[in-house]
Amino acid sequence: MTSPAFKTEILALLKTPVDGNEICRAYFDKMTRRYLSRIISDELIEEHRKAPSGRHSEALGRVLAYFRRLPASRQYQLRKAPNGKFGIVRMPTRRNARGSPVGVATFETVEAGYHGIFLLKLKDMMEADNG
Amino acid sequence: MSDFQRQATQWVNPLSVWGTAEGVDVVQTVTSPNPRDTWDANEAYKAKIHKVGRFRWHLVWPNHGENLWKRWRWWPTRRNVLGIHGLYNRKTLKAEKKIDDRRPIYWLICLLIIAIAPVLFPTGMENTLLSAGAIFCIFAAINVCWTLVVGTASIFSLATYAVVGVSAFMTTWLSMRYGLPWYSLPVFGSAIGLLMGWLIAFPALRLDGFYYALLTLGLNELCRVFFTTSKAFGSASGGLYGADTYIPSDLSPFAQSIFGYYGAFALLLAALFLFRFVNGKRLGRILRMAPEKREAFAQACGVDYRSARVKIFLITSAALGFIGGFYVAQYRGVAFSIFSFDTVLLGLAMLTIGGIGKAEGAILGTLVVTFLDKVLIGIGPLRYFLIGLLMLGVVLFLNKGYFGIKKQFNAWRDKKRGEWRSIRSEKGGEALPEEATELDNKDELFFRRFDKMQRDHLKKMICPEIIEEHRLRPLGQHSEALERVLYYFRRAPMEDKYALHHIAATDRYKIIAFSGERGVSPRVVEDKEYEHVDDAYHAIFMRRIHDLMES
Repeated sequence: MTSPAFKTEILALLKTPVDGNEICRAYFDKMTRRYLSRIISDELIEEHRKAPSGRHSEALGRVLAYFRRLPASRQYQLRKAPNGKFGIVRMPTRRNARGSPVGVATFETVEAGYHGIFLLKLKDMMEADNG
Repeated sequence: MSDFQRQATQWVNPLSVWGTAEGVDVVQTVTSPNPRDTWDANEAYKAKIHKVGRFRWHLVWPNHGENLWKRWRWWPTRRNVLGIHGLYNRKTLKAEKKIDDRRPIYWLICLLIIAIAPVLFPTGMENTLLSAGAIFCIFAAINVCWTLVVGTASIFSLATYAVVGVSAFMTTWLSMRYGLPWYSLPVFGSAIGLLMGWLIAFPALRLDGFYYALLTLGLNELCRVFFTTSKAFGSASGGLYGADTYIPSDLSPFAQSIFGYYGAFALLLAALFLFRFVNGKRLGRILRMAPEKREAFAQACGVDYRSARVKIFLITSAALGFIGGFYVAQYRGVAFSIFSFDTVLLGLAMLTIGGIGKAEGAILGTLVVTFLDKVLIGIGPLRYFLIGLLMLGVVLFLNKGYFGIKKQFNAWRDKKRGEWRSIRSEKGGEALPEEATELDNKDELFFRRFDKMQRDHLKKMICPEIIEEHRLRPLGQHSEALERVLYYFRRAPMEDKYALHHIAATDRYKIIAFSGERGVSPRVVEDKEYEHVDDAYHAIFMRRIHDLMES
């Protein structure tokens, strides 16, 4: 409980009283990110590139489990363009809304698109202020 | 399992960010193999398998159809020319025809080849081959008769050539002395042969095989000594020649050779007919009911095998006498070499190489030996070594000569088939098909199969790294490989499951094993006591690993 990052986050939360569960969850999430950032390696990314779906090693399995658990606001989707390529869009949080495109990169296959999303999420995680 | 390569890796404890009690954050471990590989390895056939349905060149005849009752028969019997039966192919459901015994076809083809052989002989060698062919036919006829004696009648007589020789000398002498025509010589020969057979047959009823063979060999030697020293039988000239012959003397030498060849071929056919009608009819069948060493049983059942043997011996002796007379009618006389020991041995080699007891064996053996002996004269005495080697090879590697190869091969193939089947039904804790039918709970079967796969899978992960990891921290978070192994151990049934017994008095721990039955106390596994509970946990772990690797 001595992490400075945690302190800033908690202080922000304390300014406006909220559900205590939220505080606890934010703390757990941060610790998980801290752990996951330790096990991210080039081999892990390469493993995901080779096989985005299917059976993975334990480390990659833990990373992917974390990514799947993220709230909808931090999830991404693939959208198929008329030219048959796939682009990444942010998942809409409102019903019947259309997701906004993320970047201009397009992918030839669904698998490449999955890996693109994985890299995006990885970037989000590593860039998180409290990681 | 052996092709799996373990890969070392580092495992970071997920709890390390929270701070663990032991301070073990990073451990060396191995990657966990893909369970799919274990599954596939267990599902796969270990034995080599082949694609089926490749018998496209396998000749299958259609069924008789409307011609069911129109068959060729041996006149005047109702016997069919070929043993054929109709059947439905179980795969294609088509009506097919199967020949039960293809030997008549092979016989016909081989005899046709012998019949047209003079046309096929290479130019320049016709004379050699024609004379060798005639000798082959005569010797084959003798050996077919000999096979009747040794094979069908089980009388180990070595006096076959003595009968032929005596008959030949006597008929030559009669022909020279009384001017008998050639066509009467085989008839007189038969009578002489029958007389000889009658003389030799009686000791056969008294003496055992080996002693009888010696006796007949002595008889052969006696004949040789008698005829070579007798002036009346041409002791001075090496043989007796001058009998009447059926080969016209006004023909060219080549035509005479052809004449002699076909005459000998006719003799061979006659010998084969004799074989067929003795071996395949009543006498042969009686003796097949009384095989060697089971005569007493056959006799008790009312099979008079002794008289059948003597009858066959007498018939054969008459036939051998006939051949002796024919020999004289072909070559105008006979040489002393017919009694010599090497003739007997060569004849024995012919029988052995082809396989005793079969007409085709006798003929093939004769063909091989005659070819080596008469055609390959150029290679000198080496050819006798070749004959010896052939004989040795047959005796060492084959059970019943060349014509026993198929049966021997089939037996060998059945043996191999059994071995392959045992490879396929690898047990390894799984239920065998025989057991499976007796188990009512089929879940049990699948559990055993799953458990075997599970053990195969876990064995791949057992390595010094995870043992060391367990030693450092028996409880708590573990790497994937170790965790999977521990899950399996925890899930084991209670019967013989290891546990720790805390000895309160000394505050030490001992390993025990549960009985698995309520009210039955656990048994002590070993006397060793552990001071720390973690050491005891690790000792149990090592025991379980040992059990796993042994299973």
